[in-house]
Amino acid sequence: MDELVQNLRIACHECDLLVTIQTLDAGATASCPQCGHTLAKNTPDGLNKALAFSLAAAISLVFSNLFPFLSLQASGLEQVMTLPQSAYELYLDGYWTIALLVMGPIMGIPALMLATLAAIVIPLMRSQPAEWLIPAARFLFFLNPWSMVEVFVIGVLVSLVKIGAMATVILGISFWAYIAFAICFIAALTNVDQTLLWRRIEALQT
Amino acid sequence: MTDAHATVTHKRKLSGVWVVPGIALLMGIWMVIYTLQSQGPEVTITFSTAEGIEEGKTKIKFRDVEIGLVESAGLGEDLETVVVVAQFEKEAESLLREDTQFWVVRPRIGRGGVSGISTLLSGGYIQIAPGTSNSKQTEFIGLEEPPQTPSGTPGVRVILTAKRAGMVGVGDPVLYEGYTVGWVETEVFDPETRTLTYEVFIEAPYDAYVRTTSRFWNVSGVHVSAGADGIDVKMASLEALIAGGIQIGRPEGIGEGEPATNSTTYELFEDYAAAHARPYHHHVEFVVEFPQSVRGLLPGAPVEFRGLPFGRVERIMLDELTSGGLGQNDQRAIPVLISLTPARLALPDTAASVDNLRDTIRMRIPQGMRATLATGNLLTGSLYVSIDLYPNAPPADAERVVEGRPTIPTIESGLGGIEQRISLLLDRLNALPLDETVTELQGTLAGVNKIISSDEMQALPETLDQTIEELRVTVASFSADSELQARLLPTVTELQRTIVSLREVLDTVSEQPNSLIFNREYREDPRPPAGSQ
Amino acid sequence: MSAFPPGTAAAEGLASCHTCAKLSPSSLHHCPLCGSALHVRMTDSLQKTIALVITAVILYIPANVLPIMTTTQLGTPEDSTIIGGVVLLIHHGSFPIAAVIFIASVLVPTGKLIAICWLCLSVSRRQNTSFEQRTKLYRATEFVGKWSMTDVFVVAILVALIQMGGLLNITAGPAAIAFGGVVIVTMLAAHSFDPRLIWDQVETTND
Repeated sequence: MDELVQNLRIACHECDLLVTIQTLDAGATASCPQCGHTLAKNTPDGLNKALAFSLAAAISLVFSNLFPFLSLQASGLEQVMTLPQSAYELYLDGYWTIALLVMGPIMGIPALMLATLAAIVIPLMRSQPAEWLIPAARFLFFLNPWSMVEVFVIGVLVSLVKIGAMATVILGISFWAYIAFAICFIAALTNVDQTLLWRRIEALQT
Repeated sequence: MTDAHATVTHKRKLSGVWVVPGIALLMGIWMVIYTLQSQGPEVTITFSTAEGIEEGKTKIKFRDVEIGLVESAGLGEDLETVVVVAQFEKEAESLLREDTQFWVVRPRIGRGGVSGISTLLSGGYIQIAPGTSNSKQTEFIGLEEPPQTPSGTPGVRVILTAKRAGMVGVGDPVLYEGYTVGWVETEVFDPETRTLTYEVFIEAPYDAYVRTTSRFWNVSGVHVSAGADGIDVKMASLEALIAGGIQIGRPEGIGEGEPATNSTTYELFEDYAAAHARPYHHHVEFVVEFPQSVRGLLPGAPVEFRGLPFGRVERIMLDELTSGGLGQNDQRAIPVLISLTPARLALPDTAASVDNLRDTIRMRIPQGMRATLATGNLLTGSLYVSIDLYPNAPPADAERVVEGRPTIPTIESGLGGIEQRISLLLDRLNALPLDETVTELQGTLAGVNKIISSDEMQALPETLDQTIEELRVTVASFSADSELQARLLPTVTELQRTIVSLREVLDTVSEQPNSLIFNREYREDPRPPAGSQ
Repeated sequence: MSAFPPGTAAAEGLASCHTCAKLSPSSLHHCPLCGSALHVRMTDSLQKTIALVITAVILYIPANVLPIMTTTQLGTPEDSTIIGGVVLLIHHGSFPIAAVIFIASVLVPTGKLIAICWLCLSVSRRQNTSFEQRTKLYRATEFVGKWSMTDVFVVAILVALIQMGGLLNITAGPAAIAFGGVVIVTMLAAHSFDPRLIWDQVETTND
């Protein structure tokens, strides 16, 4: 890592101050002296971890789609929902906009991000240049602000409380699978530093 | 001297973090395997409609426990049926046998009542009645209606035949002493023989009540019969009232017989009377000839001896009326065929009793045994035949035979008697000296008239007037502002004062009785006597 | 031409790529490494931001006025708006959840919009104080943006889960889409605001 950040000169994204990062050891964070914005963070064994967590996240995401997510029991009636079923039903009821609005940031965008991340990290790990690296990286960071995985988890918890008052809610296997997915997803992303990733790509492509 | 450069190698080791995806994968696979394992067989059920069935939602229940779920419900290849694919749980595998039945529980209103209402809210479900056969099966044809008898129910299945339809229908209860012990399963009409065949199932343990000598009769609704023995209203049970039903029973005097076996055939009688009509086997026929109108005498009307029914009217012998052998001395006597059952008179039900009865009647005819027509029911005007001893009856021929049957002579009674009495009454009325009475009445009236028109009578009002006038004057003198009043008033006042003073005196006297004679003394306070010393 | 504060990339004629952070001469229009559009400062940042803020405000009205979901109990439909839902939760005594919804659906969006407006105003007035605070405000605004989607997810989950035929049925209302729009537009507004504009007003301290 040292070669990457040997006297790296960048401008702070928030205050445009020109800053030179001399060295960044594993585990160290560099921030802007003027405004405090995090410039780069060197996570130890970042690529490995990112890939591992991405894989775990992908597996969990797949399984979270297969089993019941939540089931509701009230006065003898039972209602079971799985994530894909719910999306489909929302679409059938004519709510395709809501279906898209919800399923996109929950599943679609994170799934794309995982794929893209893998497509970036693998060549970097093998130090093999690939023509898709740059577009992929651009795509990844374009999608990043739009994944709302953790918001969904909070949303589910709020719903549980809301419904739990009047009916029995049972958390299905997919619920826990999704939580596992959320954890792995966030873990994968924290191991990816935008600035340093681009430096790797830059080093590899040029 | 510089040190040699150490060779720095970076050992490529697999980071420990790869455990994470490994765990995720293992857990996921384990979940899938577990779910697959706990799944039971997949079953196809064909229905004619998917009403009440929803993919992914409709459950299959046994004893109200969910044992399966409908996965898909689609049209069959021929577009005539609906093919439902259901996933069962492992434990339910043993329930899927060749004779297992499936049907959809949804709200139904039928002859048997309303069922499945709870499914309006909770949604329909498929119910399973597991079979008992040994062979397993995974493809079934579902029933459109819940089976009357889920397969495997213990009991006995008998066949009833009837000539008339509309009495009972599929699902109607079979009752024993008013208690539901079974129900009608199927109803088949055979146009050739014009009979209806019902398959009836009686549940265990009540199947023991069904014997070879049992009789079945229709007790649907309210049975009202108006016969010579009165109006009869019978109702088996509320269920039978609304839906219709069949009652099992055995007429008195008939033995128990053997327990019925499956497919034993019985006749379904129209009503209680029909079922109990001929419990006895030995009857003797007589002919009775009535010279009066037999209107109201119906076949089946009872023949009674002093109120005890022991026979019935079979028919009115119209044919015989036209051909030879008419009446006693009367051209209009109508022959009626009756049959008498000795067993009804507590005689044994044998041919010997028949001879016994015949001889007894023949013996009694000279003693006055006659048959008469009596009114059974004033409301309907139905008649019955009453046999009784009439000591004063005119003699009759005891040996007369009509159409091979002995006869019982008849005498008029009942209605005939009423006619007689009416004519008697009319005669008596006729005999009354009405003319004379009327003439006398006229005379009296004339006399009264004379009195009224006499002078004294006319003068009466005037005299009356005078009297009234005098009365008025007298009364006026007593009125408030008359002289009398004025003189009376002071007297009354005086009187009042006297009474007041008198009262005072009375008071004094009551206090001191001797004050009438002595003066009133005022008593001194009592003083204690002084000491004796 | 206004001078940029010394020490900044702009002052030295360099532009930093927003995507890959590579420094390149500001004369270039595209980043030589990643190809993204390169500018010294985002073009028309304030304009775009204000336009998006106005859009968000316009969308915010139906989002609160129209029902976000309709609860049909035994045939009687009952509409509920975002605020209505919060009031109902308070009535039921679930104060923490009511607080969560209120914060996520009312405080956060309005707070964000106000914050962005103020930041834009401060920049247009060339405010030269409290740079750090304003930057922190910007950071907070960007961070908290996506959390307003909580209510939309809650509605989606309830709609998907509570489908019990005649007994109880929840359907989504138009406010759900409007509110989703508000969240997206405010996120875009925060993204289109160039925080470097704050620091462009830093005056050099003469030694």
